Amino acid sequence: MVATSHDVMPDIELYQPADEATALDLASRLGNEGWLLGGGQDTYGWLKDRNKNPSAMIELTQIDAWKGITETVDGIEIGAVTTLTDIARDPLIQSRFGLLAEAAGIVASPQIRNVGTLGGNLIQDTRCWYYRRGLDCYRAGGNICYADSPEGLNREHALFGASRCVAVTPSDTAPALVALDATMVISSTSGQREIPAQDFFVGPDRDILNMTVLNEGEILTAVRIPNTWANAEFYFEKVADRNVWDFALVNVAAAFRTSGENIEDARIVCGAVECVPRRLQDVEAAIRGRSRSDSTANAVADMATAGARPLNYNNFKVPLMQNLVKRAIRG
Amino acid sequence: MVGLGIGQGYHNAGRSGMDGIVMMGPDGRLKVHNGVGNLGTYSYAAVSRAAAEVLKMPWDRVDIITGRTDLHLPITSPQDGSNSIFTNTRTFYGAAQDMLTKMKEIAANDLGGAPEDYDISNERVHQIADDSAGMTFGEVAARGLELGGKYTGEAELPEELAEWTQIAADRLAGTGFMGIFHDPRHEGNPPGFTVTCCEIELDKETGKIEIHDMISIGEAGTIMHPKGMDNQLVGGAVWGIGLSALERHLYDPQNGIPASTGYWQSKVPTYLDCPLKIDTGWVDLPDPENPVGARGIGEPSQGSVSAALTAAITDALDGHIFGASPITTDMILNHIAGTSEESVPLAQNNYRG
Ligand SMILES: Cc1cc2nc3c(=O)[nH]c(=O)nc-3n(C[C@H](O)[C@H](O)[C@H](O)COP(=O)(O)OP(=O)(O)OC[C@H]3O[C@@H](n4cnc5c(N)ncnc54)[C@H](O)[C@@H]3O)c2cc1C
Ligand code: SF4
Repeated sequence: MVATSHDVMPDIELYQPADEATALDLASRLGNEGWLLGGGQDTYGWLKDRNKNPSAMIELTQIDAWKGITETVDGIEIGAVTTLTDIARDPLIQSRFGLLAEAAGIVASPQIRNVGTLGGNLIQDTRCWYYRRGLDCYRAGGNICYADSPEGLNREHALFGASRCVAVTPSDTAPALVALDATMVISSTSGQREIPAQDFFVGPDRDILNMTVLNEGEILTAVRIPNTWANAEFYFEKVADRNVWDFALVNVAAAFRTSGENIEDARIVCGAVECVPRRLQDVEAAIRGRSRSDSTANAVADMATAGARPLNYNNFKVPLMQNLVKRAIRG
Repeated sequence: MVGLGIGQGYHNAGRSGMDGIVMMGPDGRLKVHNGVGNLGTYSYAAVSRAAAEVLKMPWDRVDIITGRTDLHLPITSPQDGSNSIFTNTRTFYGAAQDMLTKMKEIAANDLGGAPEDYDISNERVHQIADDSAGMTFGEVAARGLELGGKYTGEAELPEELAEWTQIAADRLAGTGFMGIFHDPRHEGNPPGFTVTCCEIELDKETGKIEIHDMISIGEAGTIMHPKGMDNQLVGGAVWGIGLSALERHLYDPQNGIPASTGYWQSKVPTYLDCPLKIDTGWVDLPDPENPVGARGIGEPSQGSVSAALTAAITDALDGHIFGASPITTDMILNHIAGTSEESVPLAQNNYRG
């Protein structure tokens, strides 16, 4: 590694657009050289360690149009620059989509939630420690994976979807939004497109350098949550080494619609087990028509981790994931 | 699952062989030349109080000269190994005793009688029989300066002074009334002890533990500062929780890269990983080898917490002993799921036998 002074901010051109058009214009003009900046809680680590060196940053936090929570005809819309604290404390989200309030409220630490934005939390890069250290692995454009090697320390890595890279999604809000069937609103100078949350995140088989479908010049401007799962029965749980200021070893976000004793429909999503939030559609199908009970939970436990390919040090994620899914189903 | 654990912590908590210097000028203020550090616990101040007590000085009449070697400091112990309070109260007590002896000699010389006929109070040295016959400390110090010799460090210095102290004493010689002391080596090892009891709940599905109850009792001689003692026990507990449940030191063995870097990867415990309240208590029996009865406690407290917590995890897991520490979520889950055999244990360089 090159010896550089880490005591000062690197030399970066900072843009602080106050309106949407200017921001989109800058994003289009600067392309990959224009690092989009939300609360900076993912960004500053990269900069501090000098492992990413953008020449320009476009700060999004002054654009009021991309902030706040509004009710729409069929649900709610959350500006991508809304802070996690505002989301966790919002009465509408708390009452209708408690799953998201809970997920946002357990991210990192109060300080990080106060400035971290929803967009930043969803688009944050993986926490694979080799990659974060600035090593030239596949995800950094090189041709080796340090984590998936005979002696690699891969306790936090993936059970599913390995494709040269075995890094996992670090976000707590992402599984909640997939469970709530949210839609991502993406803008650029050439217009707007909407992508289901489930398709927003991409694994290494599709793109090993990026974790989302965002292209150069595109900005996530809002997240829409339809009323489909409003006021459903929710379950969110995250297990991390520490109870605060730590990433999930596994988390689960689930929504259930029941009628009488029985589950009519459900969406169950796990984070930190794959590069993308992992939706358990087989489990969802298998529990329809059954009760939220121990016996239902036990019956589908193995199914929850079917196909898992543990690495050297992450075997424990198999029982952990099964147990969290069981807890979600039991309620 | 509930688990109970008891642990004992021990650390040698004191040394000897260091030196102490106190000085006084005609203003009568006591200057404690003190090289003890301050890791946030203000140890240099705590140990200086031994000198103030010997001379019955109000604390606001005491100056602590510290922080830079060019201020002529004697050799003192580093602030480590839980030793500061024991080691350095001995030296500053000794230096102040030397000053007291010299004060009585000067008073007896000037006012008559023998040194044994004198006592001190209210910053005066005076006859026991007639306390109007006496001198203020400032007057004694001024007289000491006139007399010079051993009274100002120009003669009769203790023979075994460390080289460093010798340099400081040489530079101070003649500039004030001096009390100086070398702590002779003593036999044995003053121990600091703690005992911790804790109750945890271990969630067999998540591998997480929650500490419900924790109490640490310390045996550290006379308690100099109850709030400081409480802080040592609680601070040590947080450290012990990290050692037993969270903080691993990992290296990628193939590439030799440290993995436990930064506050995130090193997993120091946060408030939410510690019990809401950690109860503390102490025995408060004076140590016979220390003039103020005190011994250190910093390190023992982390040891007993670490042991108690490890024992509680073992208790919650029907007696299973991991033989390694910290015991983290993944290890607990692998054990419960019976996957320990297939999963390679993560090599860690701390506390693995
Ligand atoms: C010690 C620590 C612990 C943490 N623990 C957790 C945790 O438990 N759970 C968790 O989920 N997260 C955790 N995090 C991550 C943290 O929550 C995120 O880093 C934070 O939410 C990111 O938000 P931000 O707005 O600060 O992002 P920024 O750093 O500003 O941005 C992050 C990334 O997203 C891009 N970006 C931001 N906004 C947009 C947008 N609108 N459109 C397109 N791209 C955008 C940026 O270009 C950048 O690449 C932790 C972080 C730290 C440092
Ligand atoms: S898991 Fe992915 S990010 Fe980590 S070292 Fe391997 S390729 Fe790089």
